[in-house]
Amino acid sequence: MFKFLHSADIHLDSPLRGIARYEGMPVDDIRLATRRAFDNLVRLAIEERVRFVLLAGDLYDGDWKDSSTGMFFVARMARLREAGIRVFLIAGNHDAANRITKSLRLPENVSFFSARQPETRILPEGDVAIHGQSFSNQSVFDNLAVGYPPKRPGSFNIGLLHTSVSGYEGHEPYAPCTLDDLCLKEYDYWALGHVHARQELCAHPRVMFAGNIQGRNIREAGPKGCVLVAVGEGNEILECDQVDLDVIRWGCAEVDLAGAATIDDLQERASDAIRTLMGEADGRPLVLRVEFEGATLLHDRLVEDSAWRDDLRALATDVGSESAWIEKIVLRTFPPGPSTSLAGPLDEVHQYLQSITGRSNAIASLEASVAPLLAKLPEDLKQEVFTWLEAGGERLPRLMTDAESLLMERLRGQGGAQ
Amino acid sequence: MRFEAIHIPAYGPFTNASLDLREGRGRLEVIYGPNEAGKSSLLRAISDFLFGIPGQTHDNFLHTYGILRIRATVERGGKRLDCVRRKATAKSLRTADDDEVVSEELLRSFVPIESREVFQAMFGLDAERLQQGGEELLKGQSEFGQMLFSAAAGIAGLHDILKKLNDDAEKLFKPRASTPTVPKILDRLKESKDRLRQAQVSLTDWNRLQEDYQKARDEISGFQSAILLKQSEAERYKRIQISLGLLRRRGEIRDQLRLVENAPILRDGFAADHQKASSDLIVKAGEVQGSTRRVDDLRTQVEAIVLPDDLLLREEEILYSYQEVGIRRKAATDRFRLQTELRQAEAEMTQILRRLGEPPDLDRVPNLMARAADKRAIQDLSTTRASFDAEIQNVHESLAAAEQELKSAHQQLDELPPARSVGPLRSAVQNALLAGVSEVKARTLQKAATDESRKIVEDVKALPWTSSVEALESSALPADELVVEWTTRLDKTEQAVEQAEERLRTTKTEVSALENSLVAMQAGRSVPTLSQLAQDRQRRDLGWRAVRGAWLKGDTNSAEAQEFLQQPVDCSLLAKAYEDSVGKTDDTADKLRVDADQVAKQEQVQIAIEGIKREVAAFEAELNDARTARERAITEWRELWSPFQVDAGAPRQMAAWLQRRAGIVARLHAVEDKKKQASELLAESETAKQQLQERLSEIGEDTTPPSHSLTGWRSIADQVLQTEEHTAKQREKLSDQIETSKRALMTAKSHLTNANAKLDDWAQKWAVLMTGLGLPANTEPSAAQEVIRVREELQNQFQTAASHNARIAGIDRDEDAFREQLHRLLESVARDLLPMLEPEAIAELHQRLSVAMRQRDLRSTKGKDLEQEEKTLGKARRELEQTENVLKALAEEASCTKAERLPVMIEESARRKKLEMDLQQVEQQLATIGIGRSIAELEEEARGVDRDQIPGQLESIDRQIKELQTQLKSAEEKRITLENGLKRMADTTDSCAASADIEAYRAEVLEAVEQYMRVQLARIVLQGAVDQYREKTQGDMLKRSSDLFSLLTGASFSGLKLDWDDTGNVVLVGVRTLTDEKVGLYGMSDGTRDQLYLALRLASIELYTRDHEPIPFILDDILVRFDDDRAIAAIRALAELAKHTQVLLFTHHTHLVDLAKASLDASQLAIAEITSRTGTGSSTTTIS
Repeated sequence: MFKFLHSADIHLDSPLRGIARYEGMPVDDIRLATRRAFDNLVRLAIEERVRFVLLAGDLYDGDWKDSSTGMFFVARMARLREAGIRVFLIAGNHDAANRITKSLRLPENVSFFSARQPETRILPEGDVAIHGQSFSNQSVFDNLAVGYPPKRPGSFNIGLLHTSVSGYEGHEPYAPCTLDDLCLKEYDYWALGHVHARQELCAHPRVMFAGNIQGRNIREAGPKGCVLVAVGEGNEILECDQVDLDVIRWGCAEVDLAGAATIDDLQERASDAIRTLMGEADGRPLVLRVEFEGATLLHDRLVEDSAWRDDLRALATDVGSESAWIEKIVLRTFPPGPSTSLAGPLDEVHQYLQSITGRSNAIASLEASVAPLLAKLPEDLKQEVFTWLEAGGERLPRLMTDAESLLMERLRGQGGAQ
Repeated sequence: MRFEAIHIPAYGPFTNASLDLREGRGRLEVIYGPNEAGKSSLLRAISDFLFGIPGQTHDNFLHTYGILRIRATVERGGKRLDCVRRKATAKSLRTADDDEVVSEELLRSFVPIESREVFQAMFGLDAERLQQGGEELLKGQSEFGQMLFSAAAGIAGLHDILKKLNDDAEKLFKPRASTPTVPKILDRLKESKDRLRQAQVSLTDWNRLQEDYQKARDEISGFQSAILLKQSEAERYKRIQISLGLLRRRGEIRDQLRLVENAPILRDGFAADHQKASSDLIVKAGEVQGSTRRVDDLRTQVEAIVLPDDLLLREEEILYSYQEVGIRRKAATDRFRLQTELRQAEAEMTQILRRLGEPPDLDRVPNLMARAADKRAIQDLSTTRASFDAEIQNVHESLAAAEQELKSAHQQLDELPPARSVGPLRSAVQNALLAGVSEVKARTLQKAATDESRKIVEDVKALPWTSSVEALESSALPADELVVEWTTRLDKTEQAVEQAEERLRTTKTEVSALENSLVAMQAGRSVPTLSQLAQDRQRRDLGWRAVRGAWLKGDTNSAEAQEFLQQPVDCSLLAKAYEDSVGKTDDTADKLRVDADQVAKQEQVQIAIEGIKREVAAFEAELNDARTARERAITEWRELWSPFQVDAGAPRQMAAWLQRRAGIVARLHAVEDKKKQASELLAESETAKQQLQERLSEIGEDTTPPSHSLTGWRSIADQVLQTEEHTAKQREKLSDQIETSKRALMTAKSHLTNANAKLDDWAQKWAVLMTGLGLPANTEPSAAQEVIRVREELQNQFQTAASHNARIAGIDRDEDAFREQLHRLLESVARDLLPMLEPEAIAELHQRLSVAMRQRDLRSTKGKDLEQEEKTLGKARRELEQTENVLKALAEEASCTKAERLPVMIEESARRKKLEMDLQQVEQQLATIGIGRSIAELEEEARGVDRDQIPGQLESIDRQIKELQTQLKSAEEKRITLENGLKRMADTTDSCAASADIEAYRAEVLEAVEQYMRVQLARIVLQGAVDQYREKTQGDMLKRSSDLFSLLTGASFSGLKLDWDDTGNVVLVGVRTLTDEKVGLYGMSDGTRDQLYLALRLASIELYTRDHEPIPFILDDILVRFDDDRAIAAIRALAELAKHTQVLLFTHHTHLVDLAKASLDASQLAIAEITSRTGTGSSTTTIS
């Protein structure tokens, strides 16, 4: 019997995105999250005495001038070498063009598959055959799977491939193939990379996406790690365990504020949601996005006032015993019920907002008023902000609702005769 | 929508207070309450009713939270909603009876306003708010749109909101400033990017280090293999050193082993097995012997016991008979009791036969027993008979009562008086009733007229009017238009005077300024004037004529010379004087030439001064004229008023005076009207009284005493009408009674006939039944029932006797059977007992059976013991045999024919086994140190090695190894250094940290930018909404608010206009009535600005009611800062608005209530009052 690890999409040293800092955040953990998660992978391999580790592409995030990432990787590979563990590696879309990959001298226990044609590596004992092919450049749109060699009889056959198996929305369709393409090869195990969510596509033969080992933004919430496979004497798969490796857990707490009337209600409901996520994070630092939704009397107040946000951050830290941090608070609440009738001028504000559609004068004025600010922003941020202003986007209506709430709250605050 | 009633069961200071507003539709509703009366609580109650009582309220100081209630009736489009608000977090709106929940939506459909804040801001106004509004106008004055928006929304601080939005945005970002948030974050972002660049590590350095590291590793492995080689050589010598000794020991063992090589190898445990078998043999032989002896003893004992078998065979029968003796004894006792009871029953029956009058023969009893059907028939017919008797009794009573009632009713009817016709009298009373109301009205009118006259006299006294009140009305005082004309004329003369004074002052100032500048010019040095030069020249010329006279004519003392010198002539003096005069003239001319400009200026100034002084004179004349004209005008104005003995003040004062006079005149007319109405009403009342008297006498009532009033006569008439009505009712009632009695009489008679028929039918059925029972037909039902009861008793006794007879016979039968059975038993087993009495015989038999049973038990026990012992003996014999077999088998195993030889063989086998083990051990040790080498190889290896040389060889090899180890250590150190270097490079995290920081700052920037956009969008939207609102409403708003503003300022402004300021913004200005002058907001007094704000608010509410459901406008003492004239104007404007929507004006100034009464007529005004009685200790408060 032997064991091996299947991992992918390490994106080593790619920073966690979207976390604005505030007092008390675990800055070091956040900065070094992908390295520490990779250390967890190395430790797991040694503890479990696996024979080899498979890395199915996107080890690095892009072509950087800095080599320390590669050195870190080599140092960790050396540890595996000392434990007698071999490593099989292919390049994916992100690290295909990486200069480090090309010029870095890898320890002898690491095998790198060529991008020119599919190759087969057979373990010295002769009982395992690993087939693989790297990406030659960032965008490979050929079906690589069909070119993989036939299975080696008598061995445990593994296909190592970075691919977008058709039907996975939200991922670039690189090296597209179908599940049938993979099954036809009659391999025992397909170790796939590219899709960041860990999942089993097929049980016979076993086709797995390992997912990435550390969530890097709120879209990659939930547990992240690798697959630990145990193979029996007759080349049958005995166990296929998903093991968590992430050091920072991303979580999204959706809190329904329907019927909530006070900030106390809000805090109580948010605490419950945070506690649930804390339980799932299993002791890891938790970076949270809190999304409030539902019809609530609090809506206008939440938009206008911001003191409650600081209180909520403090509350999260408290509830999470200083290991839960709020990345962002998103408001998708709305005022309860159809308002009866806004009278006179207040109605005018409402009507005016309703009348703004598409690229009206008001949007043009908004663009003009933010133009000096945009001019100061770096190009990438500028582009992102431009997308907010696109007609038909989801950000603009939200901004308008917020602006209306902000105005209503301030205008009402100025009323109140008697 | 409007409030029709507000009722407050419990809230704030109120307990069951109510305010009825139904009469106020279309009128200004003034609600008066002194301080502390609860005015502000009532205002709060209105908001709380509409939007709920807040969680934290202070209005629970009198009533607890649980019982706070506000009830109101609201009306919209003819529909009404009457409901109650309680304090609760949900379902706080209930039906008027407080039972069921009313949905908030229903209330909202009557009052379509979103929130308390909007309601209070748009439809509420107090003095403070009004003042704030005025100030806000000033702040936002540059923007008309903002002004409209603020006023319409009731917002104070729109300007501040816009400014705060701007400030919020600038806190985040401001072009060309580095302090706001965004640039700060951008700086940090840039700094992190720089840091990332610096932190990057070069790949070349890394690769070089890697090569060195590899080299060091190769070197290390070289040293390690050399060391291994030397170590293995040392091992070989050590091995030989040990193997030499072991090989010798091996030879010795092999020699000894040869001596016992033929001994058998016995298995382990063979010796022990032999030992055990030998001792077992002795023990088993002893056991067989003992057991055989015990078996013999037991067999003898069993054979000695003999049993009586015949007795034991009938064991069960004997035991049964023994028990049956007891049962027989009990049956004998029962039989005696039954016999006694049988005799009693027979005596009882004889007795009953006698009571029935039958002979005492018990055989007759079965013929006399009662039948169940007969008994039932007798009971039914008896019951029917009783009910017939009761019915006939009732019918007789009804007949008597009806006859009595008929007689009494006829008697009463005859006693009543005859009827009279009172129709005309009744209509006269109706008239008198109406006339009575007129009389009360007339009195009220008279009193009101008198009061009002008295007040008018008071009010007239307050006026500057010396004549009578009547004269005030009749005097042809100057018309309003004339006063306006005079106002203009006097203002014009006044202006003429002011203008003249102004011009005079201006020119005088100019003169003194010019004079001052002239003095300044002349100061310092003296400048000659042209006239001075002329004078000098004149003198020089005079001197020349004198000199010429002296020179040509020799006349030194000529008149010219004398005039020139003005002293006796001396020639030398003359020459000197002439020279001087020529010199002086030249000097003057020179000076004049030099200062020509200065001279010219002075000349001009001089001329100017003279010119302006002429103007001064002219203006002084003009001023005098203007003053005269003004005096004349004033005098004429006063003369205009002098016929009325009125000391005329300023025309505006007089206009107000005239307005007040007009008011008084109107009130005088009202008083006259009231008086006239009163006298008409009184005449109506008199006519009604006469009519009443006439009608009374017509029906024969006494009308001679004439002193009654209308009310007196009406009460007499009422009495008559009541009496008449009473009699008529009596008559009707008696007639009804007669009819009822007659009908009752007839019904009773018919019932009697029916009852008699049913009784006859019954008698026939009864006769048949009695005959069947053998009784006479006329037997009474009760007697018949008694006969039946006694026959039942007889039947019971008969049954008892029969049962007892049967049981006695049974007992006798059992007794005989038992005796028979016992006899048979004794005959078969114990004939010797037959002569004995039964009980004694059976006891003896039972005794003999017991003895036989004990013997049987003893024999059975001994038999079992014998059986057991026989088994033990068999077992011991088998075991003995087995042991003998074991010994035989051991001898066979050792291939020994005789078992006795076994001990010797066992000893030899043990020795051989030990030697073989030792040999094996030595060979094993050789194999261990040989590590895979055979013994032959080891012998080969050791052959030729001199044992004594081995230590020297080992020492030399050890030295070589140590040397190699030193070299290895230094190579190892080098490798570690290189490895650490590589590790440091790999572990550097600076770039990681920098890129993480970049992401964090990007997130912060985006958050700030989003907030910036939110605030900017809010600002743009607000500005847009303000503009849009202005565009939609400015036409109507300007027109309406312009009119209202003119009204509110007592026409001192003719209205409002839009104008443009210096920067091109649209601004609002007021237009003065007299001068058409445009007055900006800064030019208006605080009070006027308040009125402008009020005008805008009223106009926007009017405009709102045009497109929306009207919402009540609630004002709280807004007129406190207004003077009387403007307060009146405001009240009129509010009354105007009240035609469109409900206007509730709360005040605690009686003065304002009076003003409202004076300035509005009754159809425009409704007044309600809040009074409080909380001070007296009672908690009741009344509003209205």
